[in-house]
Amino acid sequence: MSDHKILFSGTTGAGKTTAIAAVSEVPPLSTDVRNTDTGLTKEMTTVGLDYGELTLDRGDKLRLYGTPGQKRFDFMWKILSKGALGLVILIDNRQPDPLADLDMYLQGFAQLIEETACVIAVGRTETHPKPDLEQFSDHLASRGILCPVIAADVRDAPQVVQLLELLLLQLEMKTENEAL
Amino acid sequence: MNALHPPELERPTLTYCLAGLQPRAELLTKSYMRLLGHLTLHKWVYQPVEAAAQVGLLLATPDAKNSFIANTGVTPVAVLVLGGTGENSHGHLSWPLSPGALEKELNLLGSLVELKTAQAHAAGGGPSLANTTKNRTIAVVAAGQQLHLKQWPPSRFLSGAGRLRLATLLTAKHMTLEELVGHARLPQQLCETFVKELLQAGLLVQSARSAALTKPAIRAISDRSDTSKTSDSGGTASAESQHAQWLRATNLPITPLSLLARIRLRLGIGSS
Repeated sequence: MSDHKILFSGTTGAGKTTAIAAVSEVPPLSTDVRNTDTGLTKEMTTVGLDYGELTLDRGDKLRLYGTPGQKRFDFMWKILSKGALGLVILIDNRQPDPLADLDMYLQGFAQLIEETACVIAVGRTETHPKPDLEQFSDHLASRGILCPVIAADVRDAPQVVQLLELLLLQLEMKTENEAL
Repeated sequence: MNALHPPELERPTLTYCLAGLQPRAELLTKSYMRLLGHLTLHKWVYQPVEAAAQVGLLLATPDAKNSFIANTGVTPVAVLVLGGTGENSHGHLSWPLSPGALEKELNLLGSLVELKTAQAHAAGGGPSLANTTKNRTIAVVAAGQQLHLKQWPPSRFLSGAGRLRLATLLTAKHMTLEELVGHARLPQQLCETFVKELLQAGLLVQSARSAALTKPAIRAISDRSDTSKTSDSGGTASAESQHAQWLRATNLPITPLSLLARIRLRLGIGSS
């Protein structure tokens, strides 16, 4: 049996715990605690990580990790990145500067993004339409990064599957490149 | 976990045309197609006759079936005759339309269209479908030219069926239009239209085929597949690792041993 993993990272409150819960076959293990950060409006926040899993054939596991969102836990980002197949970044558009948030994760996961694949999901665009997806795309281009950036509501399981599908598509194409 | 179906990506998208129907019947048929589109095995996209360079399914009255081919020069992959007399049968439905019968026919004929389209692509030729394709490809993209996205397209380019998938494919790999069609498993017409729009918007770059793509990144993916094995993974992991090492030594393509396909299977989404 072997293990594989996909990471979910992004802004605090963007829904990493929710996204993993939407597709995990086991109740996700979370390390949420009462939030004492006055800059955040949520009652509980993840200080460690979230964990969910899917069992593949032959008993292999696909482990889904949600990283803590805060920059002060970026040492964990590097640990979790080791051996990951790809990354889903969740951005909460209600935050004061979502593009700066995105930058933080692009930098924190630069190596993983370069080596594997990444999908960016922007949440709450229906109530907070700015910055719009085009601005995100321009922003990514200015950083030399090309990956899907779509609006998503991670409470909806099919939308989470769609994010994973876009990640897999990229990985499949990149794997083909290797064969050239 | 039950299979979850992201509606945008999982089902193959096929096109259909209407011919010979009275306006009311046409409206009614389109409504049925939209309603049943949530249930059928394929996603059906309406294509106006004037834009039909390639038609998956033609829904036509008995008289219009032959005149459609004569007038447009396009041979549909499959035809469903609507109207006329007699009982419903395969390839023919009488009025009033029965939603159940229509759904059944759409599933049968959709599979036929999918199969024939795949065969035509695999053969690199095929009936009129492929001839039309070749000419149109040259018009959209010079033969052999590879396409690559400059940046992720604005939302207005991504709202159509299968377009997220097309854009994602183009982010990850330089590919020709033919390769894009093959990977996307979408009708050629949809792929061409998408590519054409992106080219016009300056979002796509054309270049001659190059082998210098993203090999370092991919090597990393294969390596990751090996290094992320658990320490107690036993003989299988060891064998896989040896297999990868052997492939590297022989310079043969390294694949992550169908891992991605197995993840797809688990998530209940079709293969790419």
